[in-house]
Amino acid sequence: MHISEGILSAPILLGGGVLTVIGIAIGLKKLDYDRIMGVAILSSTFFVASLIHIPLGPGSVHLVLNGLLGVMLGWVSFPAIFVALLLQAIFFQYGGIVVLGVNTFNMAVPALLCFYLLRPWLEQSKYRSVAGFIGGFLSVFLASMFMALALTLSDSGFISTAKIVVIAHLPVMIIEGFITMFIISFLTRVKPEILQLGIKKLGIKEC
Amino acid sequence: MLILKKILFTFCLLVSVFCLLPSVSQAHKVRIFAYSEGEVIVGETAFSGGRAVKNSEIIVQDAASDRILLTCRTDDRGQFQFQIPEEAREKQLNLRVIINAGEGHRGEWLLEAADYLTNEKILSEGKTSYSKLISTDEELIRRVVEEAMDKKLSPIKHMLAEVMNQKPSFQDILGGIGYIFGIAGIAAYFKSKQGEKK
Repeated sequence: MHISEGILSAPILLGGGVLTVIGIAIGLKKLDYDRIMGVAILSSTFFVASLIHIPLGPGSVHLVLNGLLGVMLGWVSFPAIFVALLLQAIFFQYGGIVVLGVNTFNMAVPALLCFYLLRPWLEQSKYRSVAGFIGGFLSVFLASMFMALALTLSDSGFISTAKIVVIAHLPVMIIEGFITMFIISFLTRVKPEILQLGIKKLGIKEC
Repeated sequence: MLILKKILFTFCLLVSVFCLLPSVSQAHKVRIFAYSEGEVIVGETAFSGGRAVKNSEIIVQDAASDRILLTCRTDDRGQFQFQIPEEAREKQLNLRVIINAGEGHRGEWLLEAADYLTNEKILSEGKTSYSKLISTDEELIRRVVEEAMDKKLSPIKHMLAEVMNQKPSFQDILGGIGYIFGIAGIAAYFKSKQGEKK
């Protein structure tokens, strides 16, 4: 899921960087004082998830969890993902500093889309688990597509690249769908306030 | 309960299907390592999980100008070798060996001229006069020793490369989490300052 240094062309790197900076700025603006610690926990989760490889078939996969961050954080997933990726790049040379913008964009934008698409579903307990699954699945799928797009714009044909990348991530999508689903349903039972469900409807006054 | 069972069954089915899919690369980075063995340069590549990078493109560039000198491919064990290009030998170029494993995976290794060049030049010049003959002997010994050292050291170099490319340790992971909380602390500090101003 991380694109290495020295593959993408300059305009892509620049474009990704600029868009990521905008995303981070909006994210930081939307970040409430009370939620900072929660965001840090999710950022750490994201940081650790990519490091733990689960052997599957001939290769190994790792979780991305950008869907979980997306539905829980919305715009704030931009800074959260950025920080985690920055540390991965510095500590383990995953990705790289120059491609950090593009990598953050690739993972944070799907997270954001999941937030807007699935938030209304998450509010209703009937659809909550479905929404959780779709969140995990879709976010990795979209991230793969963005990654393929970034590679294409610098290199080879889109369809072939996209096919390889998406197939490579299919197991992750499905596993991630289930994991996001379970985490969401677990949180609604144990600590529903973390999800901030129904805040729009209830308003803070009624709390 | 029935629904749960159904979900579990589908999940197991899907996982087993994906186990049968052709090998797909899933790694963060590719490591590459190259060293000289006499007249050829040999090297090996692997994904961070340790699997070999099979049949992938190797590009050898002049490190200074980025000009491509030659390309070759890795074999089934992720290893490759190539003759030292004449041009590189003459101009004493530093070589940048790049592996391109596709899908955004790329790694490189810098092989400096001093690492692969032997002292042939000095050796051929040394035979002109008696006074230089002594130094030639010295050079000869030096060369023999260097060659022997190369052979002895290559497994050690290899080990070093592996050590350098180890998977993230538990400490690294904990350190990363610590950093994230530290950053959160800084963010909280600045947010609280903003609140005071208001």
